[in-house]
Amino acid sequence: MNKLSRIAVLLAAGLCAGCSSLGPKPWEKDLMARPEMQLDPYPLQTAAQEHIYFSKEASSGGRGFAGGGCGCN
Amino acid sequence: MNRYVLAALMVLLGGAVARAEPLDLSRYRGKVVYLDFWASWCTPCHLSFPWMNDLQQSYGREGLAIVAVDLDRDPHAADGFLAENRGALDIVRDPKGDIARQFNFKDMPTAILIGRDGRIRATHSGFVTSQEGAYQADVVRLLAEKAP
Amino acid sequence: MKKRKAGRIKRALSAFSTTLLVAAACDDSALAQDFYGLDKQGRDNFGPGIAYSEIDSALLIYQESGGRVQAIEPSASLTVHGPVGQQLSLSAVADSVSGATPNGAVPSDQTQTFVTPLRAVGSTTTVTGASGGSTVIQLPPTPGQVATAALGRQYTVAPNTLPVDKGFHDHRAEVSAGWSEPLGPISEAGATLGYSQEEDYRSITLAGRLAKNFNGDNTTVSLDVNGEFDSSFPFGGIPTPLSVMNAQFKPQSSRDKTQVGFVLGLTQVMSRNWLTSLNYAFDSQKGYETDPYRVISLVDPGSGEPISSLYESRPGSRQTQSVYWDNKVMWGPTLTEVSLRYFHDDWGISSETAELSERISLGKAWYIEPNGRLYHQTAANFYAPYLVSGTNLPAYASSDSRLSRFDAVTYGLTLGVHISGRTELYLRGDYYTQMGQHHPANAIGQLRSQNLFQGSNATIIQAGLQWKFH
Repeated sequence: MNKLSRIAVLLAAGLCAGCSSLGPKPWEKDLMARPEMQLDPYPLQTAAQEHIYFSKEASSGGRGFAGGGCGCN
Repeated sequence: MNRYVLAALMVLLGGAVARAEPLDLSRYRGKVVYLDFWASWCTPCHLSFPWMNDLQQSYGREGLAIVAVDLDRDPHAADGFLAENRGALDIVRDPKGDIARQFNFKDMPTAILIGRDGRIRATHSGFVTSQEGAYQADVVRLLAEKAP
Repeated sequence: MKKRKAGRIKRALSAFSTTLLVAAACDDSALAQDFYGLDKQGRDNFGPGIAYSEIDSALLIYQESGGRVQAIEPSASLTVHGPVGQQLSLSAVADSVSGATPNGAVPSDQTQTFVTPLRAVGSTTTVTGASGGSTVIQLPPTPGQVATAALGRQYTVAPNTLPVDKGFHDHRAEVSAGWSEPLGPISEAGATLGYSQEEDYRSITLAGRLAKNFNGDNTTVSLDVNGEFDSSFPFGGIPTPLSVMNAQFKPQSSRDKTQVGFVLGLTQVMSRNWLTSLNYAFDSQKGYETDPYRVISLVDPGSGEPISSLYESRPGSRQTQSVYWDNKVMWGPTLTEVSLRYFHDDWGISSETAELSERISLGKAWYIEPNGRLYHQTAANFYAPYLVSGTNLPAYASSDSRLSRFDAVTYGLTLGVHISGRTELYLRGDYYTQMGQHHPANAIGQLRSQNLFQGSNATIIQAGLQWKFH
């Protein structure tokens, strides 16, 4: 879809601009280390919510959950 | 990196005394330095302390110096942890990361091994207990070298 | 809530990668240090690179307004972390759904009667009695065939009420297992297998993931590929699309559906306190998309009275795309999450979703998290609240409110507490409201005075426990 691809590319470009040096230093990731700062800290809650919305609405899914964290080890 | 860089470090860090505790590596000339960067919020860092203390006890007499640089933004964040775990380790506080910035690493913890010749000889990225033998082997290898 | 799970396996796989980079918790303040409960040696042994296990368990209770569908769903998962980034994940979900569900017909100012097959051939019991309203009836013999003791189920619906089938109940069980680990230059490689079974539906899912970290672990690029193989075997068999609703057992007993898709993800740690994630998802389905129990009313063009009920019909394929953008920002004692999703498919449905939540710490161990969600979708191009007799029947038609144009708002609140530092208990309540086209402008005859939107509101409660242990 044209509109969809444009949104995705714009957002990705925005995020990726200067990706090579973007982001905090390893010792600045104390907050990223917190469990609640992960992308999906409560998988059973997310599963239940998605199940309910899937049964009541026509759209589904779209999420992915890789990344974030403090980079420890 | 060579001894000149080490000297430059000392000059640089001497100038940064207002922001970090000075890290005077000249004290350790002729010794093997295990420069460990850690923080209280980093879980593998916690596990490395007992091992580092054992290492210090085993090889301190042979010329091993362990310097543990605390990168907590709040220098007192690690007080509770250190009260139980510090042992005999030298702790340097670097809340703004001025010392850490001189080195290029991406993991927490990271240990920089500096030989008796003052050069960086090895880097340990992260700390995994199953790798303790390999970490120790690196240290023993450097201790076996004679000071220049 | 008769619809099946979607993306459950995608989600199970997702739980893997979070732990690769998850660290346990210590904040940079002494307060948080106590809060996360370091062990006696002052060590926190639950984080990345540390091998620990975690059990999550939860119980969900779902109740729609107006005596409609209710469900209870317990779930549990076990995650075991290996010392160098490996992860094993097992999960199980069961649900029991019952209540009244719209059969798709429009309300009428007259009493309506519906016949539908019994749950099993030769059965002499129906779902009457406590679940109300159906009776077993003798079916008239098919012309040209020997009369048999064929039985069906019949129920009536009062005037001016939404036709619902009260004899609706189903049980479902689902299990999944997955493994992931670093593989050479790939930061994470994993696969998950899932199986879901209910009385009239079965689903097998297979998913794989590859993820790579860059830039000091601040950037992650990921690719999830998933496939789903479903089988529908409804009570009474597969009805012929747009044929008249009847209680005969249909000759075709089951039909399948296949789904393949992928999700491309880009996650970036933008700063010390801002994490952002962008995902593009594509999905292609082929096979049986129709709801075999659902009908659409054929109404008189003048009076708007339903003449008969026809089994609905949906296209045999569907392609969907979505873009999802999630942000988590930590400001002082609060954690804000805001996400947006845009969805589009080739059935003509487009939707926009916006979610906002705010997690607020209350002292050392407690937190509350209010949240809200706004949703808007357009109708499928074959959606119609009813069909008009005398016009040509379309190829596809469905009156399912899930495919109609509507807005939905959810209000929610979660309360959580950390017990013993390694265990967390939470209680979450949400109220979901749907606002659709209750009175379309072009409704004819008696339909002008009827509520033609079949959606409903729902109350959702979930309690859960997370327990980490060695």
